[in-house]
Amino acid sequence: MKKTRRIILLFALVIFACPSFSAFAAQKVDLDLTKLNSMMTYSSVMNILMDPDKYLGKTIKIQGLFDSAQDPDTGTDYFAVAIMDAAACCAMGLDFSPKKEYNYKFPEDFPEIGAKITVVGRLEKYSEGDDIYYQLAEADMFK
Amino acid sequence: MTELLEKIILYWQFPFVRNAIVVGVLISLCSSLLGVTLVLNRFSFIGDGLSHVAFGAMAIAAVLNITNDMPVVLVITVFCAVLLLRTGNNAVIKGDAAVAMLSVGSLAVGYLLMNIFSTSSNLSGDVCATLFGSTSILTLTENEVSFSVILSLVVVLTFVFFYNKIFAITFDEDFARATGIKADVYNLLTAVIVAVVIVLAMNLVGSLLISALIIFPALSAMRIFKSFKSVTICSVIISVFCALLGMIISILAGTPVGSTIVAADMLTFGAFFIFEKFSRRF
Amino acid sequence: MAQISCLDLSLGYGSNVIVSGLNFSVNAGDYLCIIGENGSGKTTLMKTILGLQAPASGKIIFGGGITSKEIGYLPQQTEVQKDFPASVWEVVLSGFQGRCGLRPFYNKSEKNFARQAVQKMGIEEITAHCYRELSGGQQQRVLLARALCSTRKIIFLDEPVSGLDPQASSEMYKLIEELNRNDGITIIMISHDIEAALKYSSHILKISTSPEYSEVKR
Repeated sequence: MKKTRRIILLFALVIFACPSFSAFAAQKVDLDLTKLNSMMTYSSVMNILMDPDKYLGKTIKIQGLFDSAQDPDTGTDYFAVAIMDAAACCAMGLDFSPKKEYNYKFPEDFPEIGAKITVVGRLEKYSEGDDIYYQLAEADMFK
Repeated sequence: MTELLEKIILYWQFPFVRNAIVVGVLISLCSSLLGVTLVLNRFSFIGDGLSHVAFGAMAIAAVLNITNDMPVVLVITVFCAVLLLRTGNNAVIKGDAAVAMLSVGSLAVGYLLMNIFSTSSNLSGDVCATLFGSTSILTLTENEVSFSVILSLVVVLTFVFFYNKIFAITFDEDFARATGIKADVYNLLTAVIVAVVIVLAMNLVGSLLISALIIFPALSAMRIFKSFKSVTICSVIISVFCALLGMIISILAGTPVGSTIVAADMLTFGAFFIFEKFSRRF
Repeated sequence: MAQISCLDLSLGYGSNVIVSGLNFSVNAGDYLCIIGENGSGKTTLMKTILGLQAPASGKIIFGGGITSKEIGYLPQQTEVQKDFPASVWEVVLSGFQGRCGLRPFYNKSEKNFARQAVQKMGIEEITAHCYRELSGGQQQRVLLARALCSTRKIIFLDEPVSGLDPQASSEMYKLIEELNRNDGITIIMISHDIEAALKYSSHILKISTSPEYSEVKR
């Protein structure tokens, strides 16, 4: 199993509690996955995860279900948007972290786990220790 | 209509969609070429049998943690294809029973191995994807794309080069042998090619539906055309057309790729069948 | 010089020997009819001579330039063939494959020869027809044309008139006889038809537990 797949399985979603949810800062979207049907979205996400370096720096808009997980050692919360395939038997997701300036706190400012959510963010690489992870950074979320 | 065009243009931006179309067309080309010979040799279910063997091979590769599993799967599938197809008329266990044994056995062993040893978090999902191929063609790695293209071209060239020999042996193996054709060598070659095509085709339509990709275009063509050459050419055209149509529809409508292609093949067969019945009357 | 000599030949597989003690030879231009009861081993003998089956013991010696690339064969038809989607022309041309080696396509001289063979068999009108739509007699003539394409010297026929109506049968016998008489092609034919055997052939081989090989005197 590729490392990036394992990474992706750290699900977390940023929940927008604030009404300013809708007033998100307009980012130019390079890859709008919300226009695709579920099978194509799933395939696109899988392709991104198979070769993430090709998509580095691209702003991706993606719609899915919010999920979150906490690293038991560090206490850090991670957020992701999860995509199911057409038969709903497989799932994968993209890590994201919300814009720092919003200063969101989990769980108050974030949606419920499993809620539908749209995320717009730029794909970036970061490392924790020896591992490399990918996430949608400086992300905006809205319903 | 323009909305449809817009959508197609949108999807065409994605490299994995372009790759899928190219590889899908090549795979359907290869499988239809073989389909004519296999159907006439009464080996229609070899596709099913060998694809289950390939599934078992994939399970073994996954258990051994081999990331690029195509070479392993190819080697094992080729070996079993040779075992099944080479023995011909003198087999101890006749054709269909041998295919069934190997096929079901591989499926069971493969699934068993994956359950016992797998590190995958979603086993049923992986198995389901392999068996039905809903998105496999859209998620090929660069290596898999190059591999598929090269192998497909090799298969097509081989078929064209040995076309007359394949015809002679399919039509009458005894005559071919008696008049000096080394039928055994060509049967071996055919077995290897069949295995290669099946492993490639699993990415397009999944294990369970491969037989359809092999037999439907050939059967449709045989309804109407009268020479081996025209049957082969028609079979290729039908197969490529249905694969293209199936892929485009599934990409636009979000339906699973494999089933949509097979549905297109079935409808075409129905159309050819009806056309043949009508043309008999006039 | 004999084209084929069988010395002390025994036929069968493994310990199952069906015929033994076969001693005969076939010369160029002979017309040999192999007769015998059902299951006596006639087809096995033919397949053994053609190399499709190994003999239980004994030797088969070929001479006079007879190799596997120089023989013609008209086997009994299989069910698959009767329903095969191929044109007559494709079937006839396939007779040349044995001599083609690795060459993928047929050359002009082969195509010309095939046209002559088609004419000899009287099937020029149907070269574009689908094989499976022909009558039994027409199919046999197509197969005979194919056999002609793979040889100038000798043709093996396995029950060439089985399943044919009397007219088609006699046409077939006539064609075979012409090949033997006019073109000097050696004929080795399995038949159930003793009358035809006595009428056309030069030699008769009767397969049974004690095989008999005799010349037909007219």
